[in-house]
Amino acid sequence: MAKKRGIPGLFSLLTYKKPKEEESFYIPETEEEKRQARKIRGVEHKVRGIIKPTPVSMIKKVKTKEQSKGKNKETAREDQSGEKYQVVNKDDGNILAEEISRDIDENMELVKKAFNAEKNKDIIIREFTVGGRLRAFISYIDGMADRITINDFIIKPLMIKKEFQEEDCSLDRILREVLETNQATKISETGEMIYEILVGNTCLFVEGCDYCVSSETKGYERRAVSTPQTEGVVRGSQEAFTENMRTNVTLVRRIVKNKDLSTEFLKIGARNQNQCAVMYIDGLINPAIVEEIKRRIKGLKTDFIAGSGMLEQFIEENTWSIVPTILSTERPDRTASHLIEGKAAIIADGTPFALIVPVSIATMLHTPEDTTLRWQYGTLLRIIRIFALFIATFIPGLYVALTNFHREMIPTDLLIAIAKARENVPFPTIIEVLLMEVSFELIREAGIRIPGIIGNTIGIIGALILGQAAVQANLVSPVLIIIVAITGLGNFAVPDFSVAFAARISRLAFIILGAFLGFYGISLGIVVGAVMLACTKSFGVPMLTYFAPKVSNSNDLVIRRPIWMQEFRPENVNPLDVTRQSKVSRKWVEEAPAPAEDSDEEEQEGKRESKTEGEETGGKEIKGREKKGSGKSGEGIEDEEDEEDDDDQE
Amino acid sequence: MTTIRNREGAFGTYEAICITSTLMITKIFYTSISVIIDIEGTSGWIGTIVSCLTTLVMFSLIYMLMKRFPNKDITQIFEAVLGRFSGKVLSLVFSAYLLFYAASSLREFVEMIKAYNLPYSPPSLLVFAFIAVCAIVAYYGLEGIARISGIFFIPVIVALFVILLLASPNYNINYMKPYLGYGLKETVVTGLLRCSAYDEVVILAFMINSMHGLKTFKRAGYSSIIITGITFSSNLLCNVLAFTYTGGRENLSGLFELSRAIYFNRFVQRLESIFLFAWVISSLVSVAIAFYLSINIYTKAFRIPGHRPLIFPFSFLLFMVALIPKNMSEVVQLNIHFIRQYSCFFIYLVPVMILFIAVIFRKRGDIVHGKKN
Amino acid sequence: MVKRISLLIIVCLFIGSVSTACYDAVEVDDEVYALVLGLDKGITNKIRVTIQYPTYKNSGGGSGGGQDKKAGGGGMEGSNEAAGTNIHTIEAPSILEALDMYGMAVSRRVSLMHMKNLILSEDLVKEGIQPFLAPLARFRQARRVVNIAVVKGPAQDYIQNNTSNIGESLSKAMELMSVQADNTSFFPRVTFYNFYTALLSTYEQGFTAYSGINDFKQLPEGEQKTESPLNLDNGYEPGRIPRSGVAKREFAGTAVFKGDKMVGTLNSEETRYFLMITGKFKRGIIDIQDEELPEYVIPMDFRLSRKPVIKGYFKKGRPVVSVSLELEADIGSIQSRIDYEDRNKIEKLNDDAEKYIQERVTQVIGKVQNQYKSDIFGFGQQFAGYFSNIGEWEKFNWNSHFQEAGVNVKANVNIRRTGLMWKSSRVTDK
Repeated sequence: MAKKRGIPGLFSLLTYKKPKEEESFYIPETEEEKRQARKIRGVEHKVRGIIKPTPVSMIKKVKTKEQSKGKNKETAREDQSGEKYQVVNKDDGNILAEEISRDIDENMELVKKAFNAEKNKDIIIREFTVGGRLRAFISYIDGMADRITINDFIIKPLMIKKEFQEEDCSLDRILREVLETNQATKISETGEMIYEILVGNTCLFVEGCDYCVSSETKGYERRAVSTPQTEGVVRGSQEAFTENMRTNVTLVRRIVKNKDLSTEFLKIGARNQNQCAVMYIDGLINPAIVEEIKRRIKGLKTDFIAGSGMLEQFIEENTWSIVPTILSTERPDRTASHLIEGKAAIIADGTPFALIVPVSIATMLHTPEDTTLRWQYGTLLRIIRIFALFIATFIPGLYVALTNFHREMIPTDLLIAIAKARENVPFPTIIEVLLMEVSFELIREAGIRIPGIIGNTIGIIGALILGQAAVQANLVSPVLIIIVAITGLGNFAVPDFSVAFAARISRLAFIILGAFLGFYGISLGIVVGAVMLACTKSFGVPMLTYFAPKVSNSNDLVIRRPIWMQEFRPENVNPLDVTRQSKVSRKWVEEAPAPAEDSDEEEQEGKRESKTEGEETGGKEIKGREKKGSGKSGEGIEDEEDEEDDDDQE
Repeated sequence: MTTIRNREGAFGTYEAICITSTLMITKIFYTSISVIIDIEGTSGWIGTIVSCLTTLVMFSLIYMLMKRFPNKDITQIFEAVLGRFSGKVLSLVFSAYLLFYAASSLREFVEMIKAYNLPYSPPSLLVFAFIAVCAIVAYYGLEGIARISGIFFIPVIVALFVILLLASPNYNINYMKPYLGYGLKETVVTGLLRCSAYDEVVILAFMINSMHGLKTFKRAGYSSIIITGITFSSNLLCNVLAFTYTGGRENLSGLFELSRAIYFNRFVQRLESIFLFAWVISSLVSVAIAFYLSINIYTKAFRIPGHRPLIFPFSFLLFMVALIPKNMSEVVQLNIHFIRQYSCFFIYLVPVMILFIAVIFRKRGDIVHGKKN
Repeated sequence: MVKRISLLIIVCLFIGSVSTACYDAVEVDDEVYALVLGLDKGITNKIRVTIQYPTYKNSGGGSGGGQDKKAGGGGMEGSNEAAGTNIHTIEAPSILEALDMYGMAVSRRVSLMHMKNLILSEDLVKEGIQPFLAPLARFRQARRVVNIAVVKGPAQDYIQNNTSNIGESLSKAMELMSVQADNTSFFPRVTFYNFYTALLSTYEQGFTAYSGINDFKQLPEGEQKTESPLNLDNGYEPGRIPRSGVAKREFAGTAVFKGDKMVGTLNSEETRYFLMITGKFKRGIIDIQDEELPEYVIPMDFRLSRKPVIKGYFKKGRPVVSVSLELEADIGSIQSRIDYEDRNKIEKLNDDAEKYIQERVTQVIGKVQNQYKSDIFGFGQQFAGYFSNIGEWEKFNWNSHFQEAGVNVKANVNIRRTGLMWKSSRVTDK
């Protein structure tokens, strides 16, 4: 780290300076919950002496809180004003200062000026009279709004309505009685009005009113919900997010049917006025996380954020870390399962991805399929994936180190085969490896750019032919082709796109280290990598929790225990409720099986009383009972929700 | 509830055990085993149990001292008992010792890696690379150290025992005869002296404020001593069983030779790489710990907030001290011999003396406020 | 600006460290890997060192094939090339210097990292091996799992005939050859590690496999006699096995050491019984004479059912060793077709086998005790426990007491299975 700062950095190491107060964000622990969990389990909850860090704000309780609050307010104020000032241009200051007046002409001028209507043909201003007497106009952006809604449910009722009486302001009545749109709000601030028009709503101005009414008419082209592109699974939901934030939020909400699931909308990007939604389950997530997310997003001062990718870079803790600290997923079901674990999801408009915070490195290697499959299969998949990550990161480096430094560790026959193959190769091993790595990366990059169906083919053919030709031309040795190919495969098996990138970069580092110092160099690299990774945090949660700060396992880390054993949520995010399900989540195992005779009737009976149980009874019934059971244990709605989720997965 | 924690970061019992155990166990990869076999013969494994027990007693004394002064680490206790000046001097001596320790371990490591793997690489380069990594680890502070020891301790221990297990076809149980080695007296005396090999446990006393109180201190201390004792004892035994006492004392690193002697069939052999990784990583971690603590104690003595500005000068010092010994023999027979055989007089006796002084002059720490977790 | 300069300096440092760091990096094909190291007595200098390493010709990895010159009886003598390998011999004051001296002729560095066999000539070994062997323990390239063997005659000649006749890979051939020890138990598999440990040990003495070249003249030619004689005690020494074939080198028997000097040998048959005592006998087919029809034999597949129990104690100051062997056997065939599978007769067969083995084990121990006076069995391990410390034990000096030790051998044989038949019917019309 120090080196990065260059010479001044080195000098600063030499000279003493008072270290500045580190204001890192921590998640407070929830003692209460832990006690409850202990009670449920009956034994001491195995927290291995680790006390989780508390937020700095709690330590310096009063002072910083005030400060930060003040700061927050400030930033908030700045936000509001700042964003709105930047809406159009620098000389728009006066526009925002202008208020919506009672004079309709003035208002029209205001709108025209605000949207630069002379040049900007996107803004539509339609004048008409309400009830034949009052002058009015609506304004919306062409293409963003749904014309049918405007025609049929705004203009038509307004123009048909005849019996209008003179009142102070008839808009109130219009709002009450005439407008047939589902969402309609009164707006009196200019900035707000502009924003409403920008997002696709229609504003209605009526003569004599110093406010306008915005009706929900958003209707732009959007992609339909389709299958996931990068996170496909065999068993499990086949839905993926789209570019539209509202759709995405709905997709999540459809899975988490919980009244406490909260969605907060925040504006990001001053110039493109994008929106993002912060989703979390209130009463489950540690409030500090939500506060921190909101603080970070609100604290952004930038003009353009296109979507989750850019947002991720803006709010992550450590930009120098190679591994990502935020999980991005295109799957609503994965998002939902994280929400239920007590994490938060950030969905930005414009990209079909949700950002999940806080995460640890183990989460990055999970896929939704692990949970939908039975635990043995899921565990196998995870082990394969960890192995893949190992291969993708280390194998070429180890190969270089082995062949250059530790030849005594290669089996003799293999060594002689390598030597024979290398006999006519004119390059040192390191060049060979780099050559192949580069061509592999080329094939991969080209495969993405080549349009459509040819892409895949070119990738495979390219790799095959290139490898074969390279060997025949004595450019590389055949063993190396295998090494590079297996590395490539390993890299593709890593489920998280960003982690795969991290593996690619660190692989290069390990190749260089291995080439210069052999296993010694690689070990040095491992230690440096480990300490850097261990000290990287994702929204206050160390990336290597479970391993480095040892906390209790949620039975779903690397080895997936059977689903009924997963009684606790991952503890690293300190949710307000640790318990996922009660100690006995399958009540039926403790009950006597149903008598075998006339099972049909019995089943009917069972449904009513929800009591009997047996191998032959239907799954539905079990579900019902189990819900009841968990309800009794009094763990609240989340549990029930979770239970249902689990059942679905089973 | 959580108390105020200092900037250094905090860790639990597990991490504390990992830190001390890594520091103590790393010497198993070096000449330590051969030296003990040379002195004690076949009874080395008993001798090290004697050392282990001695250390347990010594640690209990240190624990009593720490208990007398709750919420104070040992540098503060020095100052509280001996007064500011002498307390600081004592802390500085400890800091210097740890630096010497780090440098000697580093040099021993470099000599060995040159013997085994990189015979023609310039030692300064190896040392430079090593210190660079230590500096990076130290930069992250106690938190980083606690975490990497937490991460690497289990793999290192597993690797160690895998080597012992895989080499088991070479063991001949009869080689542990005669049972008392070079005599009972030799065994016990060397065992007592060799408690120096465990005296790294005292570092817990310097880190006590980052742990959760005395209970953690006690638990971590006892468990790491016992873990180390078991590891040492089994390693010594396995070495004697595999090489006999005459062959065992020759090896530069008994464990390395053991890993090279693994031969099951023509497919399962050449497994030194397990050894290599475990060895390099645990050496890195342990030197980094000693290095960081040296800086840490220094900062505590002078009440310097933050250790980072000191990393660069201390790295330089480490580099210099590491290059002082002229050759391998000097490193092994002077530096390492002192550290592993006679350092106990300094490491254990100082805290014990302080304890006596405190008892005689009836000095006590503040009354414990409330309950500690 | 400062940033750029600092970047430059860092890059320079990096390149500097990088360019100096490759001291130890050697490409795989920049070295040749000696698979065999042969040691002979030198004529102009202390020692004559022979190495054999595979060449890197016919590249293309594996499919090149088909270049194996069949050594079958053909003369390879004098040629410096044996089926894809090169052989070099040099005289030097020490092994390590010899390795450097090859550099004057061999275009690549000679490395011992992948040495499979260490071949010592009998002449050299009889004079004492310590000055030549011990340095290998210190040398980082030499692995301790190298198999070690003493050859009859010069090691140089032996290595000339060391070829792989089955596959292309010499290293595989050599490793599998030493594994043959476990399949037949006609010779022990001794690694440098075992040998070196025994060399230093106060409990026992060392031994190695014994090897040699067969010139295929041992197989008598001429008319087959009307009746072939039955020869049960057919122990062989290397070079004396009546056989013909392709591989000239052969392993048979054990070379017995006392201290660092070779004092004698055990033939292939004796080696089996010797290995039984040390517990390294894996399996072997031993022909037991049919008591009822002496012209027939019963081949039985023997193995140790558990490690032999060896107890040592002092009886009136004289060390006594009791060896108790637990063997299992399967009947391979019954030439006479007598009903030995029968429950009662099998006991008889057990007794016969016990007697047979017990007798020969005792013989072997007697031979080693009286002729060689070297405890290769490791009996000393049993007595060390009677001394409380090493000082006393070393003063006692087991090796001087070995020959006066009394040895009781008890073998217990259990025939477990009878092959694929449980009864033999008479051959009709006989």
